Amino acid sequence: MKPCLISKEVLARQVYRYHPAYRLAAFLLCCFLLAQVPFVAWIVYERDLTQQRQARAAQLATDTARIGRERKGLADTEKKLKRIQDLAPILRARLPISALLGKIEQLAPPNLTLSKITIDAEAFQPIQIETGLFQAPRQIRIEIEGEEPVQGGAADPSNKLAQALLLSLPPGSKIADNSPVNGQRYKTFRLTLFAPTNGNYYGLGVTKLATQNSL
Amino acid sequence: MFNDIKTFLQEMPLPHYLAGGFLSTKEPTLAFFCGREQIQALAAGVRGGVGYETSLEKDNDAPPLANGQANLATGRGSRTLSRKLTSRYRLRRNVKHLFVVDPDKKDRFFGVDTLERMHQKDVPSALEEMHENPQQIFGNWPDQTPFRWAIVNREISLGLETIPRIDEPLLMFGITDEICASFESWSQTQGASIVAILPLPVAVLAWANNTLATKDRDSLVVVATDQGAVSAGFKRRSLIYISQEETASDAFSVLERETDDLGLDCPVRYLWALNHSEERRTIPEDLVIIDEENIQRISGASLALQEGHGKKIKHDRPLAHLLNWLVTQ
Repeated sequence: MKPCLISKEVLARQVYRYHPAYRLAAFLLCCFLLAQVPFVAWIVYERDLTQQRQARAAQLATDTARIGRERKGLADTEKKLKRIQDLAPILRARLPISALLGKIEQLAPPNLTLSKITIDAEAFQPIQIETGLFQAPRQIRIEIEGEEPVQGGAADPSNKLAQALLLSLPPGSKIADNSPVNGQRYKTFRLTLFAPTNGNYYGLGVTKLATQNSL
Repeated sequence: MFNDIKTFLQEMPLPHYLAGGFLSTKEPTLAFFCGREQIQALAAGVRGGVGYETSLEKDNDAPPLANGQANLATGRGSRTLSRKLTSRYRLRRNVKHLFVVDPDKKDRFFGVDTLERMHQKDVPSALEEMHENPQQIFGNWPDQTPFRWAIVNREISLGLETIPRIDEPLLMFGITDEICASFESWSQTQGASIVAILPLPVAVLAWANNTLATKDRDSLVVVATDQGAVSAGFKRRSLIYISQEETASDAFSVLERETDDLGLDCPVRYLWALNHSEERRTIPEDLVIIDEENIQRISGASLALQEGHGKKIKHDRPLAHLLNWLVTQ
């Protein structure tokens, strides 16, 4: 039917509905827009993720600020703790003298007479603590001198002491010298051992503290 | 080019496309009759009418009445009237609207003339001149109200482009721009396209010339509506005379006087009346009244159309047959 009494504007608009070219163009446009849906979904997902990240970052920043404020109150304690931690290499490089002497006393055979025990620190290394420079030993030298009776064919008591003491000292310890000098009735000996300062001395009978320091 | 694309993107009828407009342009038609106080509608699929609504004027979303006045009732529902009708009669969502309007006498114009007498070469130039300078065409044109104009050939073929000879009679008709715009605006709110806006007398004359035995004999047709009567004279199938009168009896009186001048040979008289209130005492006795009694004989069959309540009933009112014929043109 002829479009009687219809305005040109309306007829022009109706061309968009029925002309194949416009329908095809609209179809292609809709297909294109439909193809963007996954991309838009990804954008939305990423945006959501970014917002979550930003919220998390903001929360972390708040927490950091709060922790920073709380930490300010602990600054003095931290300083003290740092000094203690700095002392650790020095404290580690120690020798429980009484335990060592007790062990020597315990291990020395009855027929062995000890005349001199020398315990000395060696191989010093410098350690910087705050403004001071400290020398901490890395090795302990133990020198035992004495006399033992001459016993033909029997085991050497000083050597026995040396082996027993070596077992009690930390791993890495070694016997440096054991040189008896024969006499008429007695022979003198000098036993030298080296022990590392940073080893454990449980073999000497030292035990851990029952409760851990709360520091 | 860029502006064309921009306009297309702005005006693109996306809901229409998404409702199947990409693939098919075969759409159901809702043919509305908009009278002075009543609105009726025929819902038609591809094969013709399927449903009929006898009183839509009470609907909140009804189309404007013949004077262009829209329904002032408030509280429009969520669904448009077109959507309701397509759902009710199980039609596709994309629809076309066809309006058959019975406007007031002052809002319509009919005339028969030739291009030669109008001093025009062709129909488009005649339409342009009628739009811009009606006084030039009609001589005395008192009204300053803008009109919209259409020209059809003497056979009143609504589906054909008019390419007449310059001495061939043509039917010119028009309705005020304001009334036409109100229907366009309403259709836009419904998301529908518009097929045409036709004055009721023109639609009836086209139907009469197509359906009645006008090819065998000369005929005089009077279309009586709420807004008066329109008389027309056909020499065989060619419309040669048209006039507006107050009543059907006036129209027949005028036609009797004009018969000799028109050179009609024993014309058959037809009366197409919108309502039954037409007083028949003063109209000729040898008259063929196109009414419910003989419409079946004229149209060939009764119309069985579903109504709002869901039952199919016979519709032999001339208006229903007219709308059904129009949607198949």
